[in-house]
Amino acid sequence: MTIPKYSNKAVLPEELVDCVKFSITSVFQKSFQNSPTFQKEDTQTQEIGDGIVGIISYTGDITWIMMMSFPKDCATRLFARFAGFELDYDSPDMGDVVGEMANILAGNIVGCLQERGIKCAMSLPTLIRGFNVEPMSPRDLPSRKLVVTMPEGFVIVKVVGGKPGVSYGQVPGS
Amino acid sequence: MGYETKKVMVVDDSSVMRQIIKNNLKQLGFEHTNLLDAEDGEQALKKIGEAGVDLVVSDWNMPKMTGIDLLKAVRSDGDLKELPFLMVTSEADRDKIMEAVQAGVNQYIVKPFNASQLEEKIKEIFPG
Repeated sequence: MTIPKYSNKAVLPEELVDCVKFSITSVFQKSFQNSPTFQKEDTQTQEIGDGIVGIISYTGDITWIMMMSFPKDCATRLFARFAGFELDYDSPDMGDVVGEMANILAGNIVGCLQERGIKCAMSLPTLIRGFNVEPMSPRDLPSRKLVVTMPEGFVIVKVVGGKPGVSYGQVPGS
Repeated sequence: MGYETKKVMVVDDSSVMRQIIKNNLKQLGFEHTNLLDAEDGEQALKKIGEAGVDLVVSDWNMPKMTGIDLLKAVRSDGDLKELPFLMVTSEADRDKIMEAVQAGVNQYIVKPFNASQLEEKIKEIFPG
């Protein structure tokens, strides 16, 4: 297949967004025993507030990052369901399990993309705790914000494109 | 199925995942005291040598020594080369799965998994 090149007005390849949505549905169903629903993207107003974020970057045919953000209350409820036991939000275990979930979702996306002829390698997760944490992406890069609703609350998955061959973030010395 | 006497090494850098896997194994009939764990391949290899185990359940991506390196180390050890090895990982990349198969993995589960998937793989490893 032909991988679209990014321009200043670029949008993310639909194959990528499809795989992200497909993998979220599959992974959330298996992990949390409930089906997620996606909010309409033009009606989203949610912000994470106090929450925890897992970030994975990808290189390969498409260079991009995925950011998976869990509000505090939702994280506590969802991961109790995932683990089968309660996890304290402020404990290292919470960071551990958010990293694991980001890793699981990222791995599933890699498998889905591969089935569509797109090869990507993924990084280990980076974790951040904070209030309304947002990535500082370079100008003109395409992004999509997916708000995923579960009975336990909502999760935001943000996908930000990158230019092929260019690492995410600023070049040292720039 | 008589898993009570089987000793299992659970290897994952996530303490939560280690606990989840051990809880699942207990539900399948494994004895709590026979469930050992390690947070990376290096630590696991040392403990396996000391304790003697019947099965390794390992993640792939870990610091120090990865799951695939642990598998290769086990398969190249004369005393351990027949040790059953189950990989439980988020690596869904076909090339990675093939690499594990070529290195001699017995069974492979892509996370997330549920108890019945784990049971199915364990039954394949310990038939009858």
